[in-house]
Amino acid sequence: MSLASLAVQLLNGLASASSLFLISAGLTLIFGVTRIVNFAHGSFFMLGAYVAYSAGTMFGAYAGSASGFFAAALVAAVGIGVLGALIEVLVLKRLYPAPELLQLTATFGIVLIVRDVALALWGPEDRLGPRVAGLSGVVEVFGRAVPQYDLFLLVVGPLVLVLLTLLIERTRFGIVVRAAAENRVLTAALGIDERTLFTVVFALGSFLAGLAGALTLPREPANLGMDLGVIADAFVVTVLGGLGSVPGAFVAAVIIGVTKALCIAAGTVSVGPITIAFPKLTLVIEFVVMALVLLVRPTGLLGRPAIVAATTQVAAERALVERPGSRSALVATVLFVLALLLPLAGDAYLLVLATDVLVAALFTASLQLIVARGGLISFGHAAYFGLGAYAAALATTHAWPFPLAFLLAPLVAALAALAFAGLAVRMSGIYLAMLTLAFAQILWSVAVQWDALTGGSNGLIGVWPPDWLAQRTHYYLFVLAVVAVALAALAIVAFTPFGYALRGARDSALRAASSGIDVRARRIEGLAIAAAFAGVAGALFAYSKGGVAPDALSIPRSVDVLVMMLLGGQNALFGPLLGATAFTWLADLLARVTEYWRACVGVAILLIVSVFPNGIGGTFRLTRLRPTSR
Amino acid sequence: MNAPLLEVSSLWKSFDAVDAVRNVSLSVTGGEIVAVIGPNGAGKTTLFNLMHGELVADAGDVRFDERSILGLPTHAIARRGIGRTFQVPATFASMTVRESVALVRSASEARDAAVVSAMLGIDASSDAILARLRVADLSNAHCGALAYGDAKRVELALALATKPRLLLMDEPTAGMTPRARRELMQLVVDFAHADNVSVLFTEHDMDIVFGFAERLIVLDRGAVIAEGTPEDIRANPDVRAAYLG
Repeated sequence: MSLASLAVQLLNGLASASSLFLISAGLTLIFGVTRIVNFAHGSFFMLGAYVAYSAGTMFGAYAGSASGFFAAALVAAVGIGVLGALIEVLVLKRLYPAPELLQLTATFGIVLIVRDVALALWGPEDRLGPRVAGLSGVVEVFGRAVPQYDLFLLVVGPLVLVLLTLLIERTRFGIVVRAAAENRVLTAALGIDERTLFTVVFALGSFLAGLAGALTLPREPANLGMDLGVIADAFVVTVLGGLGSVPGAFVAAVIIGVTKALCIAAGTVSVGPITIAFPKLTLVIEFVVMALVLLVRPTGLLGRPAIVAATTQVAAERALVERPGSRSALVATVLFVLALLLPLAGDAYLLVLATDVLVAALFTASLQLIVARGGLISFGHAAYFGLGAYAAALATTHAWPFPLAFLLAPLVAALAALAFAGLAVRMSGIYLAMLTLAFAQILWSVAVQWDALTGGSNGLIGVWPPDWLAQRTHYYLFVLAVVAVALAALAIVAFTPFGYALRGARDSALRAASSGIDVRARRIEGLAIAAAFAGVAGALFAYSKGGVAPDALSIPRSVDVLVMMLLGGQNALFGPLLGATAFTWLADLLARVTEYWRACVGVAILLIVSVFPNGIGGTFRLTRLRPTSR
Repeated sequence: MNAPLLEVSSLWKSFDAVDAVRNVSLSVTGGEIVAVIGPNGAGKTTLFNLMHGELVADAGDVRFDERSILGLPTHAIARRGIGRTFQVPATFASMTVRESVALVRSASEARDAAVVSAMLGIDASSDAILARLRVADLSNAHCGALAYGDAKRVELALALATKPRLLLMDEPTAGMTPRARRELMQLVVDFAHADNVSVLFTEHDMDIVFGFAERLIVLDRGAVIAEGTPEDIRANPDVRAAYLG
């Protein structure tokens, strides 16, 4: 690595840091005031790029007009700002009192809708950005070519930081924003109209996201994967910088940008027999940097403990939890017998669908243990599902016998959970949710990038069960047996002293610790158990599909399972089964009717969150709950 | 007199530049009922949090049953035999009262079959403790839906169900009517005398303090300014100046 290439990579890294800062500043500003972590922020970024593309074609940006491009960028930013305000007024206003889990899930509903809207308006092809006249050339730095546009971006980041800082420190609006971030109740008591403030801040944050998207266009074509691609990075930056801190986001963006650049500059390094391809490890190293910082400063670089304290309190679930009894055992038995008889219907497709439902039910039940019982929000549960699937698939392709390959899945998933928990269990609430997402996203990128082991984006194929399970009916019965036992075990675990301790820690960590419950240890165990069951679901999945691809680890899969849990009812005993059945069946139905079925899921999420927060199983309970007062 | 059950020696704790607890030493013997009083900001809650593992002291020692508990996490201190109630009652909102008591017992006792059956709602010992605290009729009630006064007594039941030898109570009667205050404290004192439990509590209501405490410790600006029987404290000119007015 020469000094020159290092300098060039550094400039490149700082340029990406600029756009990363613009996105994260909006996210952190919105969080600081409204306490909402907006998943759809990445979608606003993506829309910014698309709108800038369309406006650019109109304003002649593609015909070489620089002012046309900047006009298009401004239109995009303002347009997305207005859109953000609209969404805040129409959707998010209803969500402020809701628990964090529901808020996050609802904003993901918006992600799904926005993506399908973009698909409908701009189609699936990438939309290339214009070459910005006057900035399309290169500048010589140490004899290397650096795009002028990178240097322009390099200036934009600090400029926006200065403007935002002036706005926050020197204006009346800024005083109100700071006051609201500090103490909401007091701000309201001072007669500040919170509703308007939230809308304005949301518009400002969305404006920044739109601007970032538009300014990214000349470097990176607008595409439908931008939303989730950028949100994981933005989460890492906001957590690293400290939630709610704009200067923190700037420092963190620079750290992440420079770290990535250094990885790329380092290239492939061989130390003895070990060869490390640093350019392929950028996301992993990003996570390691964040992990190290959070170990020393659990609230991020410039985060304030007060802000965290106000948000880590997971909204106490006050509902009683449905308990297994003789009646539910009867229902379970009847369902099991019906499922046993299903192959007699002679419908091959029905068996495929039923296998999918069973796998999804187990995956959902494992999430229910950690989220609904343990109170730890997980937005990356697919990490364990995918790890299980990959572990079983890899072992099978390496000719391990089936039982060993199958058992490897829960083991690997549980070990990964332990490693993750060692770092993350100190945190809770929103920080934890964002970390789980980042963790899953990193595993996803490893699966995509580590071609030699994982088969890259094509994944692994040829993963079939042994001969005695090769027939579709036999494999279905095997899945049924495994899932039935696992679901029963998970239902019972929740009502053992361990399960109660987990829930007790969620209800009141203070009371739990005062009663001698080791809250941290119980949570780590809970996460490991949940991960192991998710790993089993992943292995069942891999064998049923004949292979595994990185989408087994993707954010949408993590969200699907959350939706299934919410749909079925968090506290309902048969919630996972109900939710998985309804979701799988509906998704299958919709996918056959419309290519926009994801948007339909998005609408369904918004409906569940706003109308049926208790899900199907919570709305129509099988068993009567105990009386709630004397 | 026996060796003290709880012995705090030369405890210090600062937040930034403020010394919240300055060189505090105190002791509590078995079965004793002691009140810690002092104006707001005197360091009472900080002191409790130091003794209970929520905060770590800068200097000094806390010994319980002749062993240091300094630096232990809260759950380990609880297992040594120190129970606690909070100013805002902390209960398990998603459980029934009986389930909560069973959970608390399972955490402090061996996880035997009796505790598991308690989880399933059939358990005589959990009910017994509820009866002693006069909340037996609440055993099937949902903790999340309890009235404030009931929540206080349920919390007390949860704290006592771990069979502590020392109970720390932070403002146990805050927010209650004068009559309910006396009733609650009488329950505590009766329980403490019957089971030889020591009680260390903070309280703003002087009728409660002088009515129930056997010994008083007065804190002011982080330091102990007086200590003694209720009569001593009433007569102490320093205390009158600092606090009782």
